[in-house]
Amino acid sequence: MFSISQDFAPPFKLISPFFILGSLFYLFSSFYIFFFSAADMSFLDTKVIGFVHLFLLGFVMMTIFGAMAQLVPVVLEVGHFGVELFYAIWPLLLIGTLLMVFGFLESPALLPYGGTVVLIAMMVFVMEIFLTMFKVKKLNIVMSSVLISNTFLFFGIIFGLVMALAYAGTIDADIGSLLKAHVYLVVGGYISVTIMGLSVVLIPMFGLSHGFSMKPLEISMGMMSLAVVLVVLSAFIKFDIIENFGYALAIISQLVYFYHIYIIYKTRARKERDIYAISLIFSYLSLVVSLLLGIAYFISSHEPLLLAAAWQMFFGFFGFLITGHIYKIIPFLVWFERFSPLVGKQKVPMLSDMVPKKSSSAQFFFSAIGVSIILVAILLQSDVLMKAGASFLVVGALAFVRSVFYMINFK
Amino acid sequence: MKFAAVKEKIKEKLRDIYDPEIPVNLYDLGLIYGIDCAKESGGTRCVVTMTLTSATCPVSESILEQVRNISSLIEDEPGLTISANLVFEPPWSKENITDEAKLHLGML
Repeated sequence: MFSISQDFAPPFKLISPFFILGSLFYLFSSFYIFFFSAADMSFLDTKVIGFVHLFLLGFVMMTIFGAMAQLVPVVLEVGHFGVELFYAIWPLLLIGTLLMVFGFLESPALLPYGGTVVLIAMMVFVMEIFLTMFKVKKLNIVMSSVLISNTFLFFGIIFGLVMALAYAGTIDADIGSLLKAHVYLVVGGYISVTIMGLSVVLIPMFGLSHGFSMKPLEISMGMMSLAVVLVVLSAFIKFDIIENFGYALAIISQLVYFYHIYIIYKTRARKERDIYAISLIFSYLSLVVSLLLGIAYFISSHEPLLLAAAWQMFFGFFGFLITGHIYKIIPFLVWFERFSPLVGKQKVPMLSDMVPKKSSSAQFFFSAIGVSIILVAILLQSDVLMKAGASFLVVGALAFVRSVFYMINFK
Repeated sequence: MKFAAVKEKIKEKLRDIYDPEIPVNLYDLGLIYGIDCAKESGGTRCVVTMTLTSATCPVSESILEQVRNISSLIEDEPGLTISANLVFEPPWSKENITDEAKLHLGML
């Protein structure tokens, strides 16, 4: 008989702060858009860099770290090395994120402090994951993705800290090269590879997809890993051919990954169009739009195209992929904590009963419209459209925060 | 057929057990591969051979516990004990789902 240990689930009180803070940072990030000027947006604008850190650290990383506390045991099939360490991660990440965002907006002197606190939070996370992985006897492709992504994160945060020191004037270093390495290691190496690995476990599990090959994942993960290494190398040895090859590989890798998700989608047994399904459809369509905009940028070198590609990747792809999964992960954790002891003794709710239908739908529609309007605003460099899109985004984010609290407090 | 009645009662109770994520019961989802019963001193012992939709299913232990507890829900079979034999070979596939459940999942 096959046996599965079920003693790995961390307590909900440990994970819930990650999701609560993540949803609040999603709201703050949406408000932040009001302060953008579409006409003179640039990647080196401190407002843009501050926004990127608010969104990626506060929402994306905070939520991913919380989700990983739950998902690592599911994926690795072993218990955490020290799950209590997650109690230290969220306060550190919260403080570090706030210091960094204020540092970019108001006082660069705060950046090394914020960077150091974020570094400590991430180092605690990475070390916990590495020590947990030591318990794994044989690595499969998904487990390898956890190892690869966390290795990239380790180097990404080192480069980030060095960059923060240079930005604050503490040391003298080429910020442009460090920025390129930092962005690629964290966004391409950590976030993208983590999403690739976890999504091929979670999406088939929720959609009941079976009988598909894992080969496309192996190819896309290998290509993305090579792309990250090439771009990081090219940032320091200044070799354009290697750099461009790295960018091309990254785009092809994402297309292969999209193909894999399409196969999983086609082989699914569950055809319901619930909030999870529609969020993922919007998310993956955003990925394709982002890749097309990225390709258009390489052909034309028109900066708004690159900004639009990044926008659609961050708020469209990462944003909706994460919010969609929140509607699955929080109900499960709450159910496991509050209702699983009652199974067989009284009627217990299904997970779908724990998702607020109206506010989750409102979140999806307002956010999707907001993301799309802002995409157009960036391309047309229109301030009016930017503010209009931000208004929709804020309403969507408020509905998301409401949904998160509803699910967490479900009784 | 020997044990036909008790097997039918077990099947009926399996239809009351759900993975909280999936709106179809275990039996109609095709997770049950077989029910084998034998007489033992003191009663009947039945083994439910079953699978899960995913080897990493986080509620597996709760589901297996419910299957084992079926014996306490069948009042007119004193001495009945039920154990769950979890297997992943052959793997579950959507072809195992009953037509009624397929309709419920939007597959038909």
